[in-house]
Amino acid sequence: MTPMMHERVRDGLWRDNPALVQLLGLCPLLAVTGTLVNGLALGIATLLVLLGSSTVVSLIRHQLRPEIRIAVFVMIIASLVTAVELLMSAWFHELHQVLGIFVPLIVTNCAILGRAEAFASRHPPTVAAMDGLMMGLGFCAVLVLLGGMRELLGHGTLFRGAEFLFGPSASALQIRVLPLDDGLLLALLPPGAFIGLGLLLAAKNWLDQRSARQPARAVPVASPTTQSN
Amino acid sequence: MTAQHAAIRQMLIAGGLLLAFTLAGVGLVALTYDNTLQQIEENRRAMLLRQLSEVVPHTAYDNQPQDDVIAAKDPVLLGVNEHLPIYRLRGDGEPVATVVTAVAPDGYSGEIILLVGVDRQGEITGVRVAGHKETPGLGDAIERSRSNWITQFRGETLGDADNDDGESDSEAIAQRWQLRRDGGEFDQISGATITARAVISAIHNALLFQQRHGELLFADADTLEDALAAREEEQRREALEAAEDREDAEGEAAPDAVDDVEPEEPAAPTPEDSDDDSEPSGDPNDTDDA
Repeated sequence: MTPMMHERVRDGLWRDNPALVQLLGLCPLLAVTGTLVNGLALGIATLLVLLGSSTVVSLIRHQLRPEIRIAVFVMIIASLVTAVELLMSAWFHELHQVLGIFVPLIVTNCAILGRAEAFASRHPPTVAAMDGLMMGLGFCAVLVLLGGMRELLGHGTLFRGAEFLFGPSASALQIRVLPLDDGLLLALLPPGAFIGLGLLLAAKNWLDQRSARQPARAVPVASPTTQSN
Repeated sequence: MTAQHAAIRQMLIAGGLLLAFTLAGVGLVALTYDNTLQQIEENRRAMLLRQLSEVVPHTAYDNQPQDDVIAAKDPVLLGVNEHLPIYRLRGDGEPVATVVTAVAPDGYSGEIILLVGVDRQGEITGVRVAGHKETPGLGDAIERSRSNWITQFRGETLGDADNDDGESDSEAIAQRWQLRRDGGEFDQISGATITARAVISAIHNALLFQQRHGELLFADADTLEDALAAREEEQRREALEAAEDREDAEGEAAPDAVDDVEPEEPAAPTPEDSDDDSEPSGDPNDTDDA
């Protein structure tokens, strides 16, 4: 991998993570992360849209004129989101019902328009696609992490509703980690999402500061999932 | 002049580009829509069928209830001022049960959509929540997957209509159809009183709706209004025919005795029938055979 690609991976997953550093797309981030599977599903949908929009925007960047570029970006993103939503409704119908309005609302996720404008329209397709993929993965990882945290505290389980995403046989995936009858209700309510995100931000900053104090060590390139555990 | 021309040319190019990208975007969406349409429709049907079979045991009927629908609008009893589907379940062509889509407009955070299965005897065969936005961990106990609170309604009726007078007392029924803490007969959900009240009231109203319209829900019509209009039309025609018959019979019997003594007149009971049916809460099975 070239250094350019390396930088994309590091930026997307950690240093410039859309959810933890740029703080973009917080509406779906906070709304759907009641369970790990919901977070994962919306994360994958966002990832697909981001990958697609970054690639397409990069491909047409020479044909584009500055005065209409935002309109074209929105057009591309909206088309992709609608296509993803239809595909989701066809293949993962229950999950689509659960996520409801937040799938079409991917259009309004500023992370996507932001990457199209700030990065993809200025770089060649391969780099732009890598950027979209990594930013999407970084966003998805935070959704999964936050969903997992909230589900664990609120229900005491992980992977509940996995059958919606992976088929009926996957209902066995659900594991009961904590013997909770009621769980911590706060974790499932919107304030719990804000508090959870705050804790994740704090954990990331703490890890960054710690590695800054030890300059000899390389900046970790792993996903936040492994880092904050 | 040339500068102006150049500017217009730039605008046209920009507009043309925008149009081209729009067409490409629309093309993508249209293609995806076309390819997923059938699958999405199948998913919807499968989901609906699963919900219906949870509300009414699917051994009880053999038709395709998702295709056997009558639409009804009743803002008071069904909760919203729009047409809602009433699914009709039949076995061997005979009416078995109806599944009423009812909305509880007064949930804690918005509408709660319910499917209420009611058999021909007015007994609830099952209730399920088809959609809601209640608080996770509290109000969502109305979902079958979260608790079995909703199963307490199976087997319930509007009330033991056979009290001392042999008539149903709507006030006593309304009293019964409440939470225990409000003096009724149904279990509450701790921390979600508003949700539970809304659901119970909506189920009660759905039963009233089913009782009021009874057989008419199985009429061969697309909407309940059509069925009502058709019945009124038929009643008017029958009344007219009966009146003509009466005129014919006038010579044989005294006019005021016609309704009571008519052994040879088969069409005579019809006007009385229609009188009974037009009472809003009248039992549709009630006939004057006695």
